[in-house]
Amino acid sequence: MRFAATHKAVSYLMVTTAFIMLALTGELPILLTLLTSAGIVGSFFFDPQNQPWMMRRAYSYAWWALLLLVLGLLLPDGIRGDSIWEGGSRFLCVFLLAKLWQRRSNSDYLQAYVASFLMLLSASLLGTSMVYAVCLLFYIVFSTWTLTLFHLRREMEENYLLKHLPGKNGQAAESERVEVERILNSRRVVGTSFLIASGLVSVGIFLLADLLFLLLPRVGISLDLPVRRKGLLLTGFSEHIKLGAHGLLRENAKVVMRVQLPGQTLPPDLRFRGISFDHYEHGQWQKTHSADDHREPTAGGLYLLGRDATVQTPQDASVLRSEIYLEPLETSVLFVPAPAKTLAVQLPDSWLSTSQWPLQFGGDDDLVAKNRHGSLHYTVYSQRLPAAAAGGSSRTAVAPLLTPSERQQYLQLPADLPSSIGQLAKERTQGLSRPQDQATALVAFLQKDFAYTTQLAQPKHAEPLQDFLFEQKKGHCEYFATALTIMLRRLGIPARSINGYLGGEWNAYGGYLIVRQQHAHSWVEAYLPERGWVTLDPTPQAGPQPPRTGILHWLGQFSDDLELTFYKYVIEYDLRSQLQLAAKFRRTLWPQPTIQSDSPSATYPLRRWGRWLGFGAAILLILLMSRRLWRLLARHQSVEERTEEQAKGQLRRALQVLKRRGFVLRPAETLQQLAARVDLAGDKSAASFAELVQRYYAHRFGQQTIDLSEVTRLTRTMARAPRSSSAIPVVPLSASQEKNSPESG
Amino acid sequence: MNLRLWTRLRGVRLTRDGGWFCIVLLCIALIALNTGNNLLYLLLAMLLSLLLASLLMAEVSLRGVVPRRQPPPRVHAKDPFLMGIVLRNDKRRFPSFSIEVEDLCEDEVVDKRCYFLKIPAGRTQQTSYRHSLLRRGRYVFTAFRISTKFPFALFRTSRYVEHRSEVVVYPTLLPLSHWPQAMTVAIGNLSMSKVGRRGNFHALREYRHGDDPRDIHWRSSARRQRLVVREHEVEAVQQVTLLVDNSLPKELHKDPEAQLQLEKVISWAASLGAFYLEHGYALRLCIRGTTPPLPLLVSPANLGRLLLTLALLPTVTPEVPFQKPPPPPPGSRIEPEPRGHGDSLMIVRPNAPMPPESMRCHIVEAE
Repeated sequence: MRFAATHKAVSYLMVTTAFIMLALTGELPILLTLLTSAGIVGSFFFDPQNQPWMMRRAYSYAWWALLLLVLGLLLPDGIRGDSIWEGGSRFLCVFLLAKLWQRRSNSDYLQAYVASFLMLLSASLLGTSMVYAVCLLFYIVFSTWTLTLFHLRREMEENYLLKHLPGKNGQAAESERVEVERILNSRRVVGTSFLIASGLVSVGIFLLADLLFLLLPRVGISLDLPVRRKGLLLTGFSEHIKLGAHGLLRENAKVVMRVQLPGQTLPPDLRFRGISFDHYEHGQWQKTHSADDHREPTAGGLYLLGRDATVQTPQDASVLRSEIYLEPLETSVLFVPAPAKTLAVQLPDSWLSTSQWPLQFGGDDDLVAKNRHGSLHYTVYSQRLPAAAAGGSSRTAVAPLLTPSERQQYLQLPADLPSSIGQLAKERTQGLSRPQDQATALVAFLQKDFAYTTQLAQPKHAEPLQDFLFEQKKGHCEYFATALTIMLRRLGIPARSINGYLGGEWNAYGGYLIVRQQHAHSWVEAYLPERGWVTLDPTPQAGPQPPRTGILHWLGQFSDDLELTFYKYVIEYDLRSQLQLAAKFRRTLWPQPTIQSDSPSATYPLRRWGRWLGFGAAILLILLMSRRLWRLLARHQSVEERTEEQAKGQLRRALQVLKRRGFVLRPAETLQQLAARVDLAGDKSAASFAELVQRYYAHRFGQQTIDLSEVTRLTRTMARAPRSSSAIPVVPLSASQEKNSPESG
Repeated sequence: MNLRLWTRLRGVRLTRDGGWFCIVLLCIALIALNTGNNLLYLLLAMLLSLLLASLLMAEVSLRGVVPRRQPPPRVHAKDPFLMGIVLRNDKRRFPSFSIEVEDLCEDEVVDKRCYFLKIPAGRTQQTSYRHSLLRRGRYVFTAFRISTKFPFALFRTSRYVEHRSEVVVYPTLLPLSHWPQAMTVAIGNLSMSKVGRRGNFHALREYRHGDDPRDIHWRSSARRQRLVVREHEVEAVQQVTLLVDNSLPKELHKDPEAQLQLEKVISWAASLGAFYLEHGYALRLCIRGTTPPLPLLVSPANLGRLLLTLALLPTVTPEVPFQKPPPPPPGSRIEPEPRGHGDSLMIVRPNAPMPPESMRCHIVEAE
């Protein structure tokens, strides 16, 4: 395969992979994603070297203007901290396109590589998916190829390649220059074996990276970066309910959370309680009291709910331990298993230092994770409750009495509520005096006489509930929950509407529950004097779903399990995991009896010391690396080396001056040839440059001392020389002139 | 740490690209440490792995690469020459990429690097560099420094390979627009391998218009049915003695000006010697010193011996006498002493006293 074609192909593979990684985070708008994809593909087929219109200055200026325009548009948003990464990611896409459509020199390729690396960096900050790891493997393979070929290309263009022609007795007789174009089109430099070998090296790099990933010390000092990952747009669950606003819930299969119940059986009718609503008005539910109760966590980030709450051992059969892996959502609500009494919630270490009060509690048993960004893993310890009779489940065994204000809060009704709703409630509970019986009767009424649908007709009344109860007689769970809540309140029974998730899909491969958006659900909690808050679900139960089978289903479960594994072992890998891994390693090598405790607080002192040790080791490592780097960068130079460097610096400045005057040193062109070209063009700086070159050559190859002040003077003279008004065409050197160059050796 | 490893580590230098890479790496390390973002840790680990892999691949690329030097047969001071560099890759499977070779003369880098893009496994490649050495003498090329920035140009990994070879740089040969003619001709002492009018038989050839009819060899002409003439060797040899005064007063031994003047003397002597040998003169070299003198040089093939002697000619004090001429070959009638009979004496000197008047000589002042 031709060198240039291979280099171009692997370069595109590398930048495309980085773009895919960024696009998979979901932070890019669809339109920009499509445009960038089309731009990348299109630029592959347009080589600027073969398109004269792409070599014009106007073309380059147009791209720069576009970049400035995009920057100007994104800058106001970027100034706000929340969208700086979002704006930066969008700018990167445009910048990448600009570089790919102007692949004129090595620097353009290099800038495209830098853009791809910044995309990778953004993806690292924004993503948590298993796809990231897969793409990272590909990125390492492609970047190894690309950077290697880029290095070879740059070296061959910067070095003066010679083909040796043997003379008498094997002596070097003559050398001829090898054209760079010839090598770029050569099929002998790299081949399939090169790509295979370097690909294997890349796999080695990936494996080594995995090992280093495990060994790098984890210290969570928590510098709050302005990185905000966009949460999953929820279609079933919301912190505000407006009847009729949601639909098609059953078709959205986006994963919301994954729930593991280690060593426990899946309880029947398991639901995940999110948020409760107390105020209803014109078809809308609102929450009037926010969660604002702050508590200090105990050791290990464990929050105990209730003064008498304790978590003894997870082996206790009455305690349900749920490991919940929450995806990034557009809500800060934490979901807890229901119906059960939540005893404690444990947040990860990294989470505890994100804000002062990361977890907030409300009097309505809601849990709010303050300023939550991205995914979150937390553990919930719940007290299992016996199933209650008559269609409801009790949440609390011994419920505290409601205060008058709370009672008033959960009996709130809109002033203009049609009286027919109250009459209907009374009709359906006629003859029943106990609140529990009344609630049971209403649940049975709704489940029996009403149907579930997400296809809602146009409402005829101002009150959606009136439409649902008397006209449509069908609706989705929010209608059912609202109807029951309002009717209970009409009967004087305190009630609240709950939003959360019901059930889920059991992943037999990984042994955990997958909760998707389509599992979003609304139900009711009613306060019964004898039993406290009771869960009531008036929505008619759908028939049993046929078990899903087939290779696609199995593959889906397998990939989802990979996602969870990646989250558990990569995203969540922290200092505690490191210490556990080290302890396991130590036990493997030097087995010794140890007393272990599974209590969350048991490892706390070790963690604390480990954190400080890790922090110290990290600082030490950084200092050592900085010192080493400083030494490498500022290594001592002898006087000759310094003079040599200064002379080269002046020569570079002179070349910059010539570049500004329109004379660029061509690949493999010698300085003398450039001086001759400048002289031929009649430029005023030609004499100074020729003298400069002479002096430099005499110093470099003639071992003569160079006068730096004189060289500096010549450079300044060149810079001050007036530009020639007469445009004399620049005549390229002939081949014979090039061969006679003094640098041809 | 053992010495070998330490030496290799010393041969690793960060490039400018590598410096930027390390700065980016440090920044990502700080962000990862501060945020605890594990994907950043993964990225950091990837960058560290790239660094390590870069060092490893550079080591593999340099391993088994054997450089060799191919100096040209004759090198004159100040004249550019091509030094051949041969690089052999002894690895059986892996090619070496992007190898740069620097030649070291007495531990100093001679000239710019020779670049090899790819050396396939088990193959040899060759290139050369152009260089000029300013002074005559013996130069010892001690080693090579082979280096590479392969694969990612983050480091320049280099290794020293000892390879000792000597190059004798002959004095500069000056272009001679005119030269001092030899003033006497001795006949019959030595024959020259050159066509003359009378002398020993040299060869037969076909008659050409203008040949002397007396030279027609009738017997051969009759046998070949066409005219054939005899050719004779010249018996008149023109013999030159170069008396090179390679002395300087002791106090001037370290004087650059005087040394430069002496170098010019030697350069002139070499130029004259080369000229006379190429034009058929017999040449005798006479220098100050105790070393045995060169035998009489009678053909251009002896030019190397003359140049070698002059290349290594030491500077002596004026007290050191001139060499005694070698004894004449048995049966030869040539005079061992340069007395001026049948001999031209060329004295090449910076500021030497006049030779004895009895000698017929030219005094060539080195310009």
